[in-house]
Amino acid sequence: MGVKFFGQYLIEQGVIDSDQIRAALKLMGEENRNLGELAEAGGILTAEEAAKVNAQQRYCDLPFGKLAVDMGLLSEEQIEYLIGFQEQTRLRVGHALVRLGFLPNERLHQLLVQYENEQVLFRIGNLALPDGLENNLLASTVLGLFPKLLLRVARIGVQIGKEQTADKIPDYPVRIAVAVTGDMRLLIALLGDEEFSLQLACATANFDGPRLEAARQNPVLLADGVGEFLNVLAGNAMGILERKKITTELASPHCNPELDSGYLFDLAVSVGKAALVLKSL
Amino acid sequence: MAGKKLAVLLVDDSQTVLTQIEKAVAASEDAEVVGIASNGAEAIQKASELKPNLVIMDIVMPDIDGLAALRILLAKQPKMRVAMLSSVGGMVSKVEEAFRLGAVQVLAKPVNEEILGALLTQECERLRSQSSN
Repeated sequence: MGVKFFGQYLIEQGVIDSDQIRAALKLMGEENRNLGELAEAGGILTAEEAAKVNAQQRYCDLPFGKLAVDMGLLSEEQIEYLIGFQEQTRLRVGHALVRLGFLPNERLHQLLVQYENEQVLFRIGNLALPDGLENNLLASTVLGLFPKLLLRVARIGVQIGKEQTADKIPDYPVRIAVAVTGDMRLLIALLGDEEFSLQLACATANFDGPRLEAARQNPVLLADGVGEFLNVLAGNAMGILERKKITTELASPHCNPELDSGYLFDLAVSVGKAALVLKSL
Repeated sequence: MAGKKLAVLLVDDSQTVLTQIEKAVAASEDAEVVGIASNGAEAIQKASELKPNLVIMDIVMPDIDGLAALRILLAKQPKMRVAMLSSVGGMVSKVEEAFRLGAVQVLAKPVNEEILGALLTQECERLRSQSSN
């Protein structure tokens, strides 16, 4: 469950193995051209200019297109066209597997339909956000995914209340956060009482019997389990953003985050009590 | 299934994930946990000492992350079998990088124990067929 790369799904289904996926990735690497190569082939960037942008990329963590625009070498429209062309002509993993004879074409189509049906859960529309987060697509993606994942992972139903400024943070015993950095930056914090946290932590790690009892007795284990859920939430949101060419990195969860200046979302949950805080970084 | 068991090294900075996977490995007749590490540096050290048949390692970890540790592990022991765990499994770039570096599988979190069980069985069968050759 969760957002998945199609190749990973095929391995999980036992359709292909890791050697076959590596061969497909190699073929894709040989055939698919990056934006610089496409711009050069289209005659809108010289080899020297493309090399300049590539050299600059070593010093700052920005996409090629953004850098080329900032350096005055390409326009936003040219980048948009190049990205569209790259998408249309890109050799995808399924077709690479077919080309290499690892998968019949008809079977690929069946598997793509199954995969899309599973992944449809993770398609997110844009949600209204408070002013301080209005341009943060990561925040809207997290808010869209959160109820679906909470229900799927822990069978906890939730309704997200309107945001407030985070000056009155509820005093719940479990407080844990993950920080996402990169093209979009966001701190995602989840706060819960013992009942909510226990259900979430144990469901995330599939704990029952003595392990569930151990988690009940151990606040550190409880926070760790909730942190794992946050990892899954953030990781899935990052996967959705990556499809829009937004690159992000995830840090390990940390307890008792500083939440001033964040936005507090009250949660009506079917088990216990909880709140979500999103904060721009 | 009788015969040699698959020796597994688990690497994750989350105690709950380690506990879950340890339980799943213990439930398998094919495998046993021979060591646990909570970060990339410890994983490299323990893999060298314990020579496991399979390393199951998280991608997102502090200091040396899973992908950096995978690169080092396979540079030192190119035949080592390493499966990665990932909460960022939806990020094609991370999953592709893991496979390119030589991972045998990338398991999405929360870990599906059936998929993990199938991986253990498959790796154990591979180990036994190598031993009998």
